[in-house]
Amino acid sequence: MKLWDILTTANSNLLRNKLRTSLTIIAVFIGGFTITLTAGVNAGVNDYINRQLGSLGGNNFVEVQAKQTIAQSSGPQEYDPNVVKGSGGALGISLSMLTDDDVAKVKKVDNIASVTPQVVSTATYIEGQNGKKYDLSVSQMIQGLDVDLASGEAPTADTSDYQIDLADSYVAPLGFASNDDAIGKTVTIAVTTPLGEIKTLTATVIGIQNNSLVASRGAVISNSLNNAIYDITTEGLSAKSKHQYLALTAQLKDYSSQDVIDQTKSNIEAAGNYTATTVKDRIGTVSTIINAVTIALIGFGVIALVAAVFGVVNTLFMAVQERTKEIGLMKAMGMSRGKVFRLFSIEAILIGFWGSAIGVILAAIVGAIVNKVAGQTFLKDLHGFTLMQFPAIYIVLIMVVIMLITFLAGTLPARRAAKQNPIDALRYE
Amino acid sequence: MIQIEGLTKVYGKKDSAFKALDNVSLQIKTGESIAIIGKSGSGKSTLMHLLALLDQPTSGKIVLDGKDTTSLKESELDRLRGNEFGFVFQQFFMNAHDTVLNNVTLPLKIAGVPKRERNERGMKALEAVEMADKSKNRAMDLSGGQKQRVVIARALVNDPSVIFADEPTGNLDSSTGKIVEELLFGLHRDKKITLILVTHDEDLAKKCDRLVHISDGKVVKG
Repeated sequence: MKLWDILTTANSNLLRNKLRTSLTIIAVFIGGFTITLTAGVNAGVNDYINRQLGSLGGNNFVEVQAKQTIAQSSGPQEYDPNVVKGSGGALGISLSMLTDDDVAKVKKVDNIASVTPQVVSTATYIEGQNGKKYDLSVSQMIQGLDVDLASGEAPTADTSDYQIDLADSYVAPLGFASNDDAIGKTVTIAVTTPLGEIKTLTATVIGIQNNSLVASRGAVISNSLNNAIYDITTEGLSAKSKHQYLALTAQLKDYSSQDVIDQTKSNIEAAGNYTATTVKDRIGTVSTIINAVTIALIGFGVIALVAAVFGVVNTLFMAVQERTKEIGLMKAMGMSRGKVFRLFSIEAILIGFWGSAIGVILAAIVGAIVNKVAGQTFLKDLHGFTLMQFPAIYIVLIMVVIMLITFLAGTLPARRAAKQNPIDALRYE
Repeated sequence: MIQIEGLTKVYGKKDSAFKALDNVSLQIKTGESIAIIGKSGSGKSTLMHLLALLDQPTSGKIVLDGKDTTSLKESELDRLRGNEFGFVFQQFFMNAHDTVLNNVTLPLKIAGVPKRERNERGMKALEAVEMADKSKNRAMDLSGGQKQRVVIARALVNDPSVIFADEPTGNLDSSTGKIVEELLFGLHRDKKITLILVTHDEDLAKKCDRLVHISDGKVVKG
């Protein structure tokens, strides 16, 4: 019997008892549907997190901070003149700061492409075309940073132009008609000197960012602009206090494997009194939690599938029972054991195929509806966040796994059919 | 030519052992028609099952055209049955929901013949039993006599050298039984197909070239 004939025969055998077949398919469908939906949410959330990670710097960035010596024991910490202290810890603790010496030290570590001091600059307000002023928080563009853009492009790290990527919530308030309208226009950024004097800088809008959870709610600016702002806010201060950094961003040359990244991190930490962390280290826990929740939810789908497996076994045992004579006849006519086994296995696989296909398709439809509703309601402000995503690889994987499971469930009845003796069927009753 | 020597078949083990066939030897020439006749439980069906290579004898051998079949592998037996044998059963064994043509072409489908050729040969076989006009009907819609003619077409479709007929007229009334009878013997005559008939019907058996009487697992006459 040719494979195609086995396939069509198996299919028409399934259609012989439509009610029984469809009930079994429904059982498989429930499992497939649950798993696909869960995997879809997981894909959507993880994709969003990854994009957010990208806008904070991906795996290729290591943030270097001075190891903080916060008094563990009671009593004050002894003064160390070599440690530069700055203010601004979350609890009012004075923090150890990094200097240009540290930049040079980290630069010497193997596998470091560049080191950018994180210059925290503070803008006072931003003014657009219509003369209205708004608060603005700015963050500096780091080379290789992946900005989640709605339109336009990211600032060039090493340009001398004053470039700015605005968050899209600023577009309308600043008097621009649309994202595209804003691009190429200039905005005024005001900065306050330590003496309270307000100075302004003019920057060109070159891109609009998607609103996001973790990235800045303000603007990403080119280094030149960032430095210009910093210079104003530290005007008149000594060079030493100007060049103090809470952290450095080191870009890795090679970040192909976790081992390389870990090695570089420990090399950096060995170079001085530093702690080195990747974005993944900091945000990775979020992904871990989401993955754990996903696994739990997929567990429910798997339970449904396990129940479905018994349905498949039962259905096929009944089919084998019913078709005893037919199997005997086919074996008498020269059908081999292997072909009989294949015929029933393919029936099992077809149940898996139809169950999972319907599950996946329905899950995709439900996902599309949920995405639409979510996009208009509770995810309205998170642009670029598609709650459920169904990458082809997930769908193919889910279908293949379910078909494999039903195949395994079918081997039991299929074996019984294959072992059947043709004479039993031909005997008179 | 089919040659059987010292064929013995024992069912069960030790105390409950039952000798269904006891040292049966027989020669069936190519193109011959032979009736295996006996009461129910005499061992005639067992003999037919062994002859049709559906079962393995406890001892003895069956030599088919010079080939000792007891030494063949299961897959070779499958192929031999598929290529050389046709079966007609009392109970028809048809897929009631499928079309007449699909029922007839089942042996060809098993043998892996492409669909187009399958259907051509199936139609030819149906013409031979004058059932071509019913090819698209569902098997369940046929009468008993029509069903048995379709079954004969199915036995014929793979151009077998031997047709095994197990009580072919057992489920039919006498007039339709006659038609089926004539059809079978006609094929035997015209196509030189060896016909092995298992029956307890003396009248039907007498139409064969040779009669083999079986009683308590032994050949008593033939």
